[in-house]
Amino acid sequence: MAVSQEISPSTKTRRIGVLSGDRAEVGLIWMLRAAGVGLVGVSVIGSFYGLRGLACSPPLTILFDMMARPWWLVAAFVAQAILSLAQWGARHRAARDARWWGLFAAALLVSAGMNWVAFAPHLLAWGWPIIPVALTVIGGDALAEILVIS
Amino acid sequence: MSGDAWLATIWIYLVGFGAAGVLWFRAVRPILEALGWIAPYTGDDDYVAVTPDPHRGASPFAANEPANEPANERFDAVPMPNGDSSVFPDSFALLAVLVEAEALSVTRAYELLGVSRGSSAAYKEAQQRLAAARLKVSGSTQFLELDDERKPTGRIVGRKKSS
Repeated sequence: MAVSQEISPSTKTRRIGVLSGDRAEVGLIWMLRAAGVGLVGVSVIGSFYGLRGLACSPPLTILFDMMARPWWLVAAFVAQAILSLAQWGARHRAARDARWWGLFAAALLVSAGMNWVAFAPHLLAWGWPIIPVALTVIGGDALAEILVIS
Repeated sequence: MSGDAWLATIWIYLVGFGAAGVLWFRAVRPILEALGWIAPYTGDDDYVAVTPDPHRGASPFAANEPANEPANERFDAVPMPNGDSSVFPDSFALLAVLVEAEALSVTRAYELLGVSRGSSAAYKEAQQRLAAARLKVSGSTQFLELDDERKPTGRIVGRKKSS
């Protein structure tokens, strides 16, 4: 895009009510990152229940559960941190050595397994077939890392 | 949203929105770009290459020297089939040619370099070096950062030393 043009100093101005396509996409990217952070947060709660083999509870119950079992909450945070780092690291390493996909898949399945225990009973209770439920739970787990990092 | 299932409902909304976003940037947008229906995405830090009018004298903008140092370990040199690295001495030279030929978006170039947009030192370094490499192949003498209305902000991202 080499162009010759006359240039003059310009201050950065913003016109109120005008949103360029690029800015809209930047906004979309930030919303997607926020969704990724949201998925990580929900995933931690999923791990909090999934680690104990329980389905997640109503909002206030979750709050009381977390206050009553702070060490399980710490364990959920640590588990998610380790599994997220493993997924992120393995995915980047896999670009050079495909064997790293094994670690990625293992970390993803462990993380998705905990979320499955927490969320899948609700989705199955709604009458969802098992494959869409699996795609939603596993896909959401993989998406969280992609949205936050990529 | 029923009591017990509220978190599962939030999960579904987030997954749906995230999947739609990824689909847009990874699948739909590249197709529309290839068809020429939309311009390549350049994000919030697009540049324009300019050749200042020589009659106006020196550029009115404060100079930021581009980072022209050779490729370091962070960005691997591009391996050439015949071992000749004089054409594309580093990743940036090759990517700059592709970006200038509009065969590659700037965003994709960063992805290939393994850096994410943001404020990280690696991104800033890649930003400066890609701009400097594009200068070498564009025939222009300066790269100016553009604001969201595509006007120069006054910041020079890269400059040819001979100018």
